[in-house]
Order: sequence, then structure tokens, then C-alpha cells
Amino acid sequence: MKHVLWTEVRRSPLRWWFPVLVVLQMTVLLVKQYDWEFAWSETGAAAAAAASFSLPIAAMAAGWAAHREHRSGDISQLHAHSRLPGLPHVVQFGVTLAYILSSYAVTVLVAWATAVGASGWGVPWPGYLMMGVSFLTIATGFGYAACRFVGSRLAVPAVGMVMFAVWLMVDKRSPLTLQILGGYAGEEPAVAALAWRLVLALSLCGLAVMMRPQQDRRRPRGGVIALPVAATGLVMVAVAGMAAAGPLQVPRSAEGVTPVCTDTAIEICVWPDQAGFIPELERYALRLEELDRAGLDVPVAYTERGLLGHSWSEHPNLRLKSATGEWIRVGELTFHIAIDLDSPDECVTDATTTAQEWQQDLQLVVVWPTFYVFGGHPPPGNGGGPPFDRELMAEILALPEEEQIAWAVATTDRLTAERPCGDV
Amino acid sequence: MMMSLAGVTFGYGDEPLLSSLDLDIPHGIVGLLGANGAGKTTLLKILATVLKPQAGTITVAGRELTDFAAVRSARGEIGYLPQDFGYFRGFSVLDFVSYCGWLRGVPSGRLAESTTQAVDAVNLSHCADTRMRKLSGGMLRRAGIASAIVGDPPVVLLDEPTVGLDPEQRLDFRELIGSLSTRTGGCIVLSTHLVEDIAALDEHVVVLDGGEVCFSGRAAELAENSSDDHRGDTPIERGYVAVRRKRAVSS
Repeated sequence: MKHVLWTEVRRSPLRWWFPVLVVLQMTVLLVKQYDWEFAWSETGAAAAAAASFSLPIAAMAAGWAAHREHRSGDISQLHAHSRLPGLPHVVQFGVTLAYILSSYAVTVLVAWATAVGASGWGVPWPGYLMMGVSFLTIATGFGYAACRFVGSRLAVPAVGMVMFAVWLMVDKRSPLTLQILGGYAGEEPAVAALAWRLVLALSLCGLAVMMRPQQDRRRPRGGVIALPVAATGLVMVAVAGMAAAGPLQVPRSAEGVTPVCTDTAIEICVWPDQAGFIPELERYALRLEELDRAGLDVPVAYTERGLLGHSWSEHPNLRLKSATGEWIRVGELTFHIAIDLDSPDECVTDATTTAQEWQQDLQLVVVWPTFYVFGGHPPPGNGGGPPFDRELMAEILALPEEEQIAWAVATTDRLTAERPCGDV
Repeated sequence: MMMSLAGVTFGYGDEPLLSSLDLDIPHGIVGLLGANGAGKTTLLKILATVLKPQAGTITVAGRELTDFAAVRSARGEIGYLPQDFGYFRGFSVLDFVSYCGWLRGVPSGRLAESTTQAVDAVNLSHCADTRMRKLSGGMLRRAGIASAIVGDPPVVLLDEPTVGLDPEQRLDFRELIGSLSTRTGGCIVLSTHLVEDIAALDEHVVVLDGGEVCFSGRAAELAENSSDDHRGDTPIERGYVAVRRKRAVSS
């Protein structure tokens, strides 16, 4: 058995598909997504997301391996063997699946090493890692089974297109989704949803091994027709189970969780898995303290959403979804300075400024704290937020920091003192 | 008898190709002759347990193949090479022959040695590591023969084994079959159109015609059926024509 296993490993076409899978997953992990290395939930989800992007390739690779049977001519002498029924395909499928999951193992290792280097010791959440395993096994089993059944070479790209369509068109919020975009620490993989995906993966593996080619004219021996039918039934049960299990990610309970907080006067507390963000958050907290000392109304504490329960509370909370990037994280903090700006309800007709000037000042002073706390301009394409005059903002940012703060305090006082009437 | 068929019937559609066929296959070399469509390949597939007969029984080495367990056990003793045999193009000769040996249940401790012996026997040692897709037609046929004889199975079924072999290779093949038969003491069934191969081996001959056995006996006995009235360059050829004509007249 070891000998034939080694032969299949050496001769498997997957040895050429393996680097393609690795490159694709590395690209998704390191180029498309960012900042997942600071939260272990995000690290696990990033690896699973990379796996989900490679589902079409995995299905085609498995399909090409299975299609060997059809490319080989009359191999009836190989079918009439004395080994356990299906054993040759168990070996071949096992090697195929091993290659595909090995590409994922490389991705997980790279993700882990990157996260350890960035935020210290930890491990990606096992639930997300299993999610990636289930995604890839589903694609492998499906591609292998389909291309064992259909003799045409067109079946190989067809299985890739089917997986692409499923991946693209099934919304990530759907219970049937095979994709994940992020692993926010306030959410966790739903156990039932994950379990049904593993059942689907295993049943597709069984189907892959038991499937008979469509043009197989051999009369079945030993009731082997019953096995692929049973496996197909199990696949359907698994899909129904997935549909009934609900979404793939559910809100996480904070019971028994001890938050990790910055050691600063203005405290920012996050889920313990996001401890990697603490150094960055401490920099922001110190900048917020400068604003607080200058007289701006800055909350004394921030808590990550979900740690105080999953409903809005008066206590300022933020959401450090890593996929959003640093600029948006700072915006989550300064948002509470902006909304606490208490402008007068009644407008005055003889104000010292026009309505347009008032509105312009409001937009600038709402956005300016984000620039100040962040320490510069946002990365390209990561702006967002309310509109503001970029030229005026650039002039303000060119001033020394003490003058910027003085301008912010004075402008805030002016905005809260009176609101001119008129259209903006 | 090494193998026996009793009342075997098989057809691909409504018309049976083999109908209530009774045949005893002795030890030694058995040549299977017949016209195209006579049912030679189908008969070999049935003997190889690739196809299951719709009626009748098959006995291998005294064991009747009544259930799947018996069939599986028998497959460990049968080497089979189809006429247009398939192979894994990416495998080397050694890989493919070894794989076939594993499928047949050759114990892992003996597999490497058996593989090397089979490859040596067909004179392919010099290209044992060559990929199957790069072999010439004749070399491919020899690789196929090696895959059928790896592990020295007592029953070897070869469908048109000498197609693609040059005359000297066919001489080597006859020597190989002769030594294999002596070594295993089992039976080797050759389906062929080349009557001279049968004549040279001078063993048991079965002539199949219209799904029926119209002759089963020694090659010399087949030759005795010939007369100058029948077409053919050799006594065996004329004997072959004679028995087929006799069957056509009687049916």
C-alpha cells in the first residue's frame, strides 16, 4: 500500500496544481486582506477566506485527477482487481485531497508566522481553520465525483465554473455560503453550520470514491450501486442541514471573557483575541488624551462592541474589524467626539458667519480629530466619512499641532455658540 | 481443468453474443481463434471477471464464482490484458506494472521483485523509468504484457498480445509465454488472429464462431480437419476454415 501511495504522490497531476493553489491563496492572504495579523480570530478567518477564493481551482484540480480514468482508454483490466472495492480510488482521492489541503496548510502556516511576528504568541481560531478545511474538501469532493462520472474533458472547467458560481452568487450571509470575508472577534463560527459543512465534505468524499463513470457498462457486483446512491442522499441531507443551521457566523458571547485594555488614561478595551491591536490603540489613546487636555469633549473609555452585550449602549463602543484598516479604526474612536458636538437647536438670523461657512467649519472640525489622532493623511482609497474641503484641511494640517488644537477648540466653541439660519 | 464455463450467456443488447457456452480451459497455453465479432474479446472479459455473465457459471481452479467474495479472490489469480488496453499516461513502466501487481494483490514484500522480473521478462528494463505515453506501440504492448504477468498469476488472459510486435519480438513473446506456462503451471489464454502464433505454440486451440465453440482441442487435431478444398496456406489455417464452415453448414 505504501508503495502505490508513493507512486500516486509522485505521479499525481496535483503536484503541478499545488503551487498554483499556494500562489493564489498567498495572494489573497497577503495582498487582498490586511491587518488580520493583529487579531487571532481575523488570522484564522483570513486563511479560510484565502481557501474560499481557491475553490474553483481546487475543484478543477481534483476533477483533472479524477478524469485520469477517462483519459486512459480501456482500463477494464484495472477495474477487475482483487483489492477492496473502491480502494484504488480511496488512494487516488486521498492523495488529491492531501495535496489540496497541503496548500491550505502552507497558507495557515504563513498566516500564523506573520501574526506571531506582528502581535505575539497565539493561534488562529480552530473553528475558522476547520471552515477552510471544509470548504476545500467540499470543492475537492465535488470536482472529483463529477469528473469521475462525466467522461468529457469539458467537465473539468465546468466544475470550476460551478464552484465559482456558488462562491460568487451565494451571499456570504446565506446559510449555504462557502465564503467568508473576515473574522471579527465579536463573532464566532456557528458550531451547527460548521458541523454540517464537515458532513457535506465527508459525504462528497464518499461520493467521489464510490462514483461510477456514466458510460460504465459493467454490471454492478455486490450491490455497489447502493453506495453512490446513499452518498448522494447524504449530500442532500447535509445541504438541508446547512440551510437549517443558519448563518456561518454568529455573535459571540462575552460571558467569562476578560477584555484586554490599553494602559492609558483614556482606556480602550477590546476582545482578548485582538491584543495585537493594543500598541496601535495606545498610540491613539495618547493622542486622544491630548485632545481631552485641550478641552475637546473626549470619552474616557471605549469598549469593543459585544463585550458589554450585543445592543447599543451609552458607553462608547467601537468595532475593530481588521479588514477596514487603520484609518477606519481611528474613525471609530473619533466618531464619538463628533457626535457629542452639541450644536444649538435654534438658529439665529444675525449670526457672525453664514450658514455655508458654519457647515464648512462643522465638516472640518468633525473630520479633523481623525487626522490628528491618525497622524497624517489616510491611505489611498481609505477615506470615507463625511465630505469636507480637502484644501482647507491641508492648510490646517500644515499648522503646528498646538495651533491646530487651538483652531479646533475655537471652532468648536463657535459652532456650539450659535447656528446661523439659512440654506447650506 | 484450470477454468470452466457452463451455460454462460452474455449479450450487449437483446441478442446474446454468447449463448449457453460450455468450455473447459486446460492447463497450459490455449489459443482462442475466431472471426471479428465471434465473441473472443467478450469471452476473455467474462473469464477475467470484467463482465458478469447474464446466465451460467464460471469455475476457476475448482472454485465456482457464485458471489463477489469468490470473484475477488479469483481476480488475485488472473492476469488480463485487453486488446486496446488503457494505461496511466503519466506513470512510468515500472510504476504501471507495479500498480497492476498491487491491484492483483501481490504481497508488498514481493511486489518490487515481481515488478522487476516482469519488466525484465519483456525486455523493457532499459526503459523502466520511461513514461508510458512516450513508449512506441510495440514497447507499449510489451509493457501491457508485463502488467498482466506481474506476480506470476496462474491464469493469464491476453487479447491480441502480439499486435504491434515485430517478428523478432513475436519470437521473444512465444518464448516468454512458454517459460511462463512452465513456471506457473497454470493456463495462458491467447486471443489472436495470427494462426502461426498458435501453430508455433502447438497447444490447445479453441475456435469461436457466432458465440459458440466450434472446436476445442490440440492444434494438431485442428490441422487434421483441413483438406485441400479449404482455403489457407498452412494446415492450421485450412483446419480453422474447415471447422467454421462445418458449423455454418450445421446451423
